[in-house]
Amino acid sequence: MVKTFIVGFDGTDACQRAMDFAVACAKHQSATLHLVHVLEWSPYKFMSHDEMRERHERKKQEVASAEKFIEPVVEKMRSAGIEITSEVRYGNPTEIICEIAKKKPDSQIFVGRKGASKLTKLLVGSVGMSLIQSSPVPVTIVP
Amino acid sequence: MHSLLTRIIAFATLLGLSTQSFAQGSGLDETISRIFEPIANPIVNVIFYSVPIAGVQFPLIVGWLVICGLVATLFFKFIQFRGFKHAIDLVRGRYSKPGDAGEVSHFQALTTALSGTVGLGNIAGVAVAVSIGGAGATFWMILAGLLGMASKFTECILGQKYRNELPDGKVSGGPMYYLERGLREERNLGGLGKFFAIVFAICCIGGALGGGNMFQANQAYSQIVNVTGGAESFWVGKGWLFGLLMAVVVGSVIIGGIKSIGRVTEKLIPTMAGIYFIAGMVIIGANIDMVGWAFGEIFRGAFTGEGVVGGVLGALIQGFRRAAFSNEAGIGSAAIAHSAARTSEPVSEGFVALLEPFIDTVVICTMTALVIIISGALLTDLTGVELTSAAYATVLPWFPIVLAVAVVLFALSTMFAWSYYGLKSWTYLVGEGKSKENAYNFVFCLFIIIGASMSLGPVIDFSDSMLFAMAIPNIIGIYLLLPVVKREVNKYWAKIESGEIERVK
Amino acid sequence: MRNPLLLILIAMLLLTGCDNMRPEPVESNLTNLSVEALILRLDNALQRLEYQQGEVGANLGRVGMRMELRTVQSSLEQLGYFNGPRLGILDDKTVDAIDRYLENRTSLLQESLSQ
Repeated sequence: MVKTFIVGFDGTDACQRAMDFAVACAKHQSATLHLVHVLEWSPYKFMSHDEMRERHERKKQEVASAEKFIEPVVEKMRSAGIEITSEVRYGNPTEIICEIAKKKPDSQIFVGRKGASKLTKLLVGSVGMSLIQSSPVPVTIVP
Repeated sequence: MHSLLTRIIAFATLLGLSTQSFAQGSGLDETISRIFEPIANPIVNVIFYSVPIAGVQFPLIVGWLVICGLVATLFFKFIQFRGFKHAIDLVRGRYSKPGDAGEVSHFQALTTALSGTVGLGNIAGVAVAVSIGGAGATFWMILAGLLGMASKFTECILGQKYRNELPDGKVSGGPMYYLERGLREERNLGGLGKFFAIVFAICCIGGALGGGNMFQANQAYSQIVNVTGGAESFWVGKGWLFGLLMAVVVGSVIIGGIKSIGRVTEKLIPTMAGIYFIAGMVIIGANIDMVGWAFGEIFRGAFTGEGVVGGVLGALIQGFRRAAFSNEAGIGSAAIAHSAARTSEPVSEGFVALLEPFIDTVVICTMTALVIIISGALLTDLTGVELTSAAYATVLPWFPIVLAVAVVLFALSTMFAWSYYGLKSWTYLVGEGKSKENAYNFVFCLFIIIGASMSLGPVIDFSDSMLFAMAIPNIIGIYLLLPVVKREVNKYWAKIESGEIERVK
Repeated sequence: MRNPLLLILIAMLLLTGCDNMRPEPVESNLTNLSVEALILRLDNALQRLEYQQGEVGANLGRVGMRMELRTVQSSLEQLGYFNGPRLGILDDKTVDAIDRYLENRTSLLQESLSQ
């Protein structure tokens, strides 16, 4: 059974660190990497008329630009001899990552931590924290 | 962009200054009314052509709207009740596929469309209905709301089915398109379809200037006068000035292209609607023992007409008129709004749209009416937004100020929504182009000033007539295309039953 | 999750400063008009309605015109000529009240001016 390491990736430094760590682990355990880029999206958020009209085009642009920045990373990894796949999804980051983890047998999750202040943590709650609480598979938080 | 904006403001100020000196004698507001009313009156009289029935002048156009709701209800075998649960399921996302994430959801389509219809129609319009029609008008308003669900269902399916997708991904839809394409493709009546489409587009421009603009400006101004001291207010007789300010704000968005103002306004609407709704519920809740009596008044008024000959019919006319004004069912504007949402199934959008008259009229309008009846404010002389404000103030003394803020925001957001509907019709008629669009936008802003300057009576007549005129071509189109909608709906149900459209959750 | 909390918060805010949730009687400014002002209002409204001998020229199918008639009814009520529901419907009672008012209009005006 091939292990899959799911890496939450949004291009920040923290994610880069999580990625590096996952790569290091993957080399030891001969696992494949799966990059997940989640675009924040809630079907219950209020939209203005203009936003509604532009939504479809905007979605296309968003997906395109997300793929544009994820593609070079994937290419680099691949040329370094690591098996890697990627996907761009819309929704709540925690839910999406958990959903993917459920579908992949024997997977693990790697996410970065932004090191936010106490107040923001209290108000926003980090993806890492909620993943720890709801993930069906082991989660590694990389500081 | 900015130079254009400064030019507008400069022009507006000049207009204000030059007219100020001119108006010193009699008041600019009166001058504006005196110029505008003779132009509006003949149009109003034609559209509200009335026949005397049982001692009351019955405007035929009101019957036209009622019959459309009735026909749609019977034709689709009470879809508003049969499909209600399905509509709720759709909005809750029970049928959304994972691939739909990132697109406009049914919930968003509904809330955005609601933000366009919930507003002064629910606040001021209801007050007009119960002040003239008596408490009984509420009953007829609820009935009209329930019938309106079926007409809205129909027109939104048509709007979705016959929308035009431009190469740049933008979508245009609405009655102009389903009248033209629908009648050509389904009935082989291309010429007639084109004719109706043009008539609709012309009426829609009028509706945008009237219902979507003048009435809003007028009632927003009225509430501002109300909270700044009533008869002693600085704003008394300065409707034109208030209109000018509103026109500058609206102009900076629709002509100047400062979209952020519009976006902020629209984002505040759900909160404002929430506050209004909660305040109403608090008042009703605190006086829950009077609700039974209030409903008694509503039923008594609806079937006895306060003992006046023609009172029943009088209440019915007012109830139906204000319901139609508030939820816009059968008018065709909702079809323009809903065609912008992208769904693979046109029919599902119809189900979502069906909830709008319910929330708008059956829930919110009824709530306003209940508050007015319970408060006893109905016994006064007030009407329009002042009546609603006074009714709320009997329990929550500070509410008029909140209402003033809400009313201005509602007015602005309705104006933005309608400026778009009007613009779509205008570009349908004359084609796209920056200068053509700005010519329309300028006229739109001008009507804000006119609306704020005039008194409620003539404004509501003009707005109603313009808005209801849209229903003439639109409803003919609906009748002719009913079989198409039926076919689509049957196909849709078949897909649900076969499991092709899957329930996800 | 935070939205219901927010709504409750708004509801609580709404309730502050209201110890009595019963509606208080409403007094409108329009009910304290002088006789002259009432006559002026009546004249204007009747003119707009194009009232002549029990008939109105204006289209009562229009809301605006019914509002005018309602103004007439409420002004007549304050002058003591009318006591029916003000629904803007031209029934016999209203016509009767208007006619009685028109008969007395001049004397009413003189009375109020001499005071």
